[in-house]
Amino acid sequence: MIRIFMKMKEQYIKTEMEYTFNFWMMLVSGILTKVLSMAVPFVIYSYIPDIAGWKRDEIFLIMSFLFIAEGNCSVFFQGIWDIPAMIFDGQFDAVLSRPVSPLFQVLSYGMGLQGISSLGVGTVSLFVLLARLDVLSVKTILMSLFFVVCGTILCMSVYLIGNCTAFWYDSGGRTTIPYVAASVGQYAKYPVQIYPGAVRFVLSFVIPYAFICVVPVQILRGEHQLLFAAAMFGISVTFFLLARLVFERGIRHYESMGM
Amino acid sequence: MKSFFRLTSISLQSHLYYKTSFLLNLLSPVVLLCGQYMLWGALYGQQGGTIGSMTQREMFTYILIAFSLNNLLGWSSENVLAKEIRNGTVVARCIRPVPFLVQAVSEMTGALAFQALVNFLVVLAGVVFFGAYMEIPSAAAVAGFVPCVILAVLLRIMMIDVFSLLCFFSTGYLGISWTRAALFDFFSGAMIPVAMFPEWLGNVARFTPFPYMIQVPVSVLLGDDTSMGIVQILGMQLVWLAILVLLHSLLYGCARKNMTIAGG
Repeated sequence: MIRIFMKMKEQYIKTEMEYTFNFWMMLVSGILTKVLSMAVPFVIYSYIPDIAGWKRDEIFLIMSFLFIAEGNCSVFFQGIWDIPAMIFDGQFDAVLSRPVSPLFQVLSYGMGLQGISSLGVGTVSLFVLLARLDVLSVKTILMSLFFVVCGTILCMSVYLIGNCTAFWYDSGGRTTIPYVAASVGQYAKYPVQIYPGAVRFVLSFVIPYAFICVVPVQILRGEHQLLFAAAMFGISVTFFLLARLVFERGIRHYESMGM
Repeated sequence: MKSFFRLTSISLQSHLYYKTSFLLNLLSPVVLLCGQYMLWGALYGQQGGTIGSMTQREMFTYILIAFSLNNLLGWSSENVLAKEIRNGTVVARCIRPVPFLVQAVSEMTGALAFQALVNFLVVLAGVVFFGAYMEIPSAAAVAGFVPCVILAVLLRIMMIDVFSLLCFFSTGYLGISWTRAALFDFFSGAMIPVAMFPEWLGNVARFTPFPYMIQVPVSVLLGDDTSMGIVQILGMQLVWLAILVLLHSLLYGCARKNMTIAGG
């Protein structure tokens, strides 16, 4: 299955590379978007020394984990964003008629070229920041790998749940619900401790972006390492199972083209 | 003007067709607005008084107005022309008896008309409920803001149009659109006021048309020192508008000369 999955991705990248100018523009725009979004805390920190005790490099580290998770989702699971369009124009019929898991098919569709840039910028900045914060070691690299895997699963689950809402209402081929979820997630670019309790709860347990990027940095700072790591694992597994359940329920609700 | 309003109305109707989606599209950016308030509220709570040259009251007003200007157009309405160029349906625009530029401007005006009304209500609600935490502008500042914001919207529409026309020369539109969006979001002051940029970065921004789309109109409203009078600001906006219209003519002329659709 993994071989087929990677083969599909390989074909998408080959297709995209046929359009050379667009391919490079996508990569450049991806880098530009991420670098400019990092410029915001850069400007803020030129006026204030820290945000709730968090240094500038720690904020950049939070962003790095977020970029990597988003990048992985874009590169490997971009098909999730096609679900509303598939439902709208009836392509989902074809997905259901094939003798392969519908979820596997959806995940293997497409590839977001911007994700490659996001992944690249995130990975480079992760290593640079671990070194700048003086915590670069084999142990932290392995820990970061664990955070990235959990973060990617969480990010994918949030996107999947959000896009699956199109099964239940007439979206016209595009739903903004996952975009809203992703927008809420952007709050987690900064330490969640600065927000009111209700927002902290949402970011931790409803749209759990805090576990994608803030909690990993807290663990690297040495805060409640075992507890936080166990919570990360638990939340990732729970959200993945929930997303699968929502997807399966959505399929039961699907009424074919023109719904 | 009759054809302009007719096309604007058609665009508005097509956006209203899927009502749930339309309502969600209208309201979802408010989530981002709340996030900005919480972030800056926390920063000012920690720092107190002012950050850079902006007081908390100025920042809270800035966030609301900048949000309502930035949110006038969404990703899908910004990319209609680019998508049409990509899939070839742009040919319909080329054969209609209305200038290409008028069609693009009227369509985007239709797309933003309803959103502008909703944004106005959001601003009104913000001022009514949270006015005590904001800088309320003077009548003279509002009088200067109105023409400035009209030109700012036109500038943005023209900027989108010019970037979309570049799709005639590429094989896709996403890269171009993402680049435009990234540059606009940062250099217009939508993400953070340009006035807070370090000097070198502020100087870079000032050589682009982007600050004239959000930062400058909001500064006019807040009565901030922009080192230019209102007449000069409006003049600069008109100059940028003229440059973009010229670029539109050049790009469209070039594309039209080389356009081959369905073997024609």
